[in-house]
Amino acid sequence: MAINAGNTAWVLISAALVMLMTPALGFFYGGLVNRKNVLSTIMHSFFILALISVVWVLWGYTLAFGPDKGGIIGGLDFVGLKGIAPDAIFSEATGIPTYAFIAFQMMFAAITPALITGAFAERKRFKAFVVFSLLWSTIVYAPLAHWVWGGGWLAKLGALDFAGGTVIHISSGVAALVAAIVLGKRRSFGTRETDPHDLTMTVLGAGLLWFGWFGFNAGSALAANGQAATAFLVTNVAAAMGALTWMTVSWVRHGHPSVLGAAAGAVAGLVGITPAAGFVGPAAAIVIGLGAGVFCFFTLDFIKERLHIDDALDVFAVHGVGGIWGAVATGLFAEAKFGGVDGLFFGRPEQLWYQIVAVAAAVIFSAVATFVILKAIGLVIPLRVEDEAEVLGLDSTQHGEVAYQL
Amino acid sequence: MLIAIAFLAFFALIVAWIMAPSTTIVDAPIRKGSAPDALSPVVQA
Repeated sequence: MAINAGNTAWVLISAALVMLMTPALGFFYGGLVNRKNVLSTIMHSFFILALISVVWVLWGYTLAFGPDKGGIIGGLDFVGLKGIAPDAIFSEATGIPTYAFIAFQMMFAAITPALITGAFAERKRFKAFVVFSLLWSTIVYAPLAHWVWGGGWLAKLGALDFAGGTVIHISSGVAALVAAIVLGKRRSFGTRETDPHDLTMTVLGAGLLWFGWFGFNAGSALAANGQAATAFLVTNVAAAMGALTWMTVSWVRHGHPSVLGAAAGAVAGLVGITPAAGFVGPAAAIVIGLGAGVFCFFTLDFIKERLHIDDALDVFAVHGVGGIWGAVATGLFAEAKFGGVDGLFFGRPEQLWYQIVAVAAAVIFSAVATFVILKAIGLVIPLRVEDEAEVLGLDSTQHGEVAYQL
Repeated sequence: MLIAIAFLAFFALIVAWIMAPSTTIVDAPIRKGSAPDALSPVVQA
């Protein structure tokens, strides 16, 4: 079969859009930390983009998308991408080259561990972070991607995840919560020192994330077709509804229409629609965006105010809960006319059960594996910087640089 | 063969990251006028 030029162009452009999301995440997170930690926070995302790009070629892709081994992991047939010709076609249905698919998926693999970094910002030792990212990507991300997208047991079960609600957001959100608990609170937790140092940077990051998310979701159709257009439209609608909802809840609760609330709400809406993007319509996207804004906002309050867990940049509240809501909502609102599968509200209740199984599997696997990885690293390398380094800031003590010479 | 070299090159980097010295507090370039917020009386206030 010949390569489909239109589909290939769309997937390659989408890969570039998703690539932009990882440094955008760095800016989103970077604005939220103290100015003495902004470089280290941005570096987490930037470094991971480089690290995982190499890991994906050497062993990540084959573990995720190699020939299925018992529904658990991909075989090693494609180690170093050996045996894959440049003109090999990934699927007859879309006519895109396998290399385009590999590049597209590489960007997903890169941004997922970068999401976790928000939980341990302002206190994690860079060396420990490097080893953690390497191990987590290999031990958690690659198998989970195989379970859902690589023909693994969740795919065989019938669980739906259009663009990564389970594989990316639940896994990283839960890992973030575990990391926050294992590392412990920042010394400054609960003080004004944890206030964002530059919200303009955060809003810029959120805008770039929103832009890149069109590639993330609409690109996941792997074709320039009606499903991609649906995913594009519902992505924008859910982001908008998430921003409006979070800002409104924040306004009612705290008395101000928060700019940070609007930015965080947009991201929450984007997370919520991610697993559902190719399976639901615009009306459902409004409900999903609304739910994401409400659930994520109140989870954030609960985690910080009641449980006193220092998930520094609210990764679990936004990505964990947003991803869980999106995965469940897919089982509720999926409609065959969009993605070929009906959910509970369209007469097929078993889809909701499949979604719940996928959520539970991702939560348990990510939580246990992340805990073991962190504890194992902690035996060799201290996870946190010294107290004095935390006071001085990670930019100067970990990287020997400062962000602003003002 | 090339794949083996690529693996070796990447593993060499990983070993270098693990073996590399950690930055010490003494090395940190804290310049006058760019004191971290934690030490700033303005923020403390």
